[in-house]
Amino acid sequence: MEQTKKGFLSSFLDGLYFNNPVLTLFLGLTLAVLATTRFQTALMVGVLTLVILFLTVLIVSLCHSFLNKVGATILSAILSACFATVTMLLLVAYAPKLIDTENEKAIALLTLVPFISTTSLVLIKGQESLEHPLSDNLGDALGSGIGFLLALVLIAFVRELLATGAITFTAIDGTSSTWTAWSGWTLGILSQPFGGFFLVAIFSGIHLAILEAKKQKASVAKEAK
Amino acid sequence: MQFLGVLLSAFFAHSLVLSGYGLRQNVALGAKKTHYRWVLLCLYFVEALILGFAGWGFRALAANNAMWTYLTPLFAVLIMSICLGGFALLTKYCFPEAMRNDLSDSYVEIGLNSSLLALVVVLLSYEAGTDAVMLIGSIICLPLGYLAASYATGAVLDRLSVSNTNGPFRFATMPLLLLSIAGLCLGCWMMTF
Amino acid sequence: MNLIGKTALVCCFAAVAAVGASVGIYYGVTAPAIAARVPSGDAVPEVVATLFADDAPTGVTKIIDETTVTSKSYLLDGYRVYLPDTSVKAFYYRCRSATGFGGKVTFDIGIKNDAVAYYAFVKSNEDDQGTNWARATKDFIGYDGSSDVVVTGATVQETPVAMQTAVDAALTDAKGRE
Repeated sequence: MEQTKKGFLSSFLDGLYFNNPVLTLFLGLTLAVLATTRFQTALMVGVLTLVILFLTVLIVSLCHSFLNKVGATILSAILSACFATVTMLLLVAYAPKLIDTENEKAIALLTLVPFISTTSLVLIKGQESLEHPLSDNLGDALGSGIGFLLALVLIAFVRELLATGAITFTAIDGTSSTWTAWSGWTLGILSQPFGGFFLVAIFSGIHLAILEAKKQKASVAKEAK
Repeated sequence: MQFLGVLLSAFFAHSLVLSGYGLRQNVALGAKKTHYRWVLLCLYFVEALILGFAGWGFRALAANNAMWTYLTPLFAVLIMSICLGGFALLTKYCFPEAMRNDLSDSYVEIGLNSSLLALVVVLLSYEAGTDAVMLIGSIICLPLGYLAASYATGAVLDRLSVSNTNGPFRFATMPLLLLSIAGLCLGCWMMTF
Repeated sequence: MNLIGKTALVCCFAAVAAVGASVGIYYGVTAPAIAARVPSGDAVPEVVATLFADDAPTGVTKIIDETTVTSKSYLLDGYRVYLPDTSVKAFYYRCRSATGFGGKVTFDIGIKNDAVAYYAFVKSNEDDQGTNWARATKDFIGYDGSSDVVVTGATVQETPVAMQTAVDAALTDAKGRE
């Protein structure tokens, strides 16, 4: 397959901001809705997805001459499922209290692993790896991964704060500590799927509007010249 | 009555919410420009059925060996990969060229994402004690409802995107659809009271 | 080899490596770590091993002190039973019923997650009908104290009621323990 070159930095910035996976491309929407009920869950899922995305794109890019489009997607799915499963097995072994399903303060990672395994972010970026050289792919994977992480963390912070009035952290030994911002009124409904869709819509709408405004400003300036 | 409740919730409530999760991949299902989308619908439905029953099997295996609890997603992805590989070969060697070109960009994401969603829901939505009839009802109704919801949301998104290609305010496409799905979720949630 | 063949080969290799890595990490790291966390307790007595044969218990801790058992006690012996599946809270009790039609029935029960999962008849000095019923019954399996074990037939109904009193005592004891 013929490859087009964009450059590492350009690919990085593109993935991070201009084509942010959640806010612009709407990739990994399942995780953006499910993992943002808690700030810490979003942080962990974001970091895990960043690592999985980077490794998957690296391997698919290295194997690009042996793969067609369907093969690249299938390989991405197998690799991301493998990395997610291995991470889960290691967490069960070394940090069981952190993901204990009976502890409501624990991180619900067991439920999220199947979704991380097949997140469209990894599948589509893996498939696109065939079209660009390795340095561009790594820049895009890094930028997209960090962009995904930041978007998740931002949405989760607002969502958890509005839903509970506090941010809860759980340590590896299962003990939790809470930073309370205010008490009294809370919008508990935001912890439902409604809250996820609603906040992703609001943040992506704002992001897209800013991008659009910049684009229009640039075209007006160009016309004036 | 309970059976009917399970079927209806699998068909409507679960499916509506779930179709939002795979929104980005559903566009091709409802897109006007995809003429052979019925093939995608068939692919998805068959895959979801295979995975639904595979999920049932994994659950039984997990009762005897805890390893299957953790490795089920990986094996589900492997089964999906085999289905998709098979479908890709079928497309290449058996389907006419027009159909092949029409589907080439869509079926991989749809196949992988939506069928795993179905598997996850099948795994999550029934308790260990659920009887076989209810389970089979769920396994069949969930993908059907999901297909209907995906088709509808994909179609709405496709029309919105087309009508707003030159629009000044980008809020009107995907975020608007997300807000509609948020509203649907709110409705489903309120019906549970 | 054409591109489809190479793709298939790469994907098969990735699938085998993924399954190998996951199974290897499960048996090499996760399973030993889970096993190390299972409380071992004391050696499993034969009666407990027989009753919980399907679960392969890993250890027990005695919870009924013989010195507190009196002639009026419903619970003659008891163990907290540790199973490989740590999410299951299991107990073994040797129960003695209240006086039924004319005597008492001694029986074993295995409780899993606050419901009776196993039952075994031990001995009885109840009348023949009651003893025969107690020897054959499976009515206590699944019993969690939420509804009565009802048996029709005037002569035999005293026995289940008397036995249920002891089972209720065991369930109350189990629910009160961590």
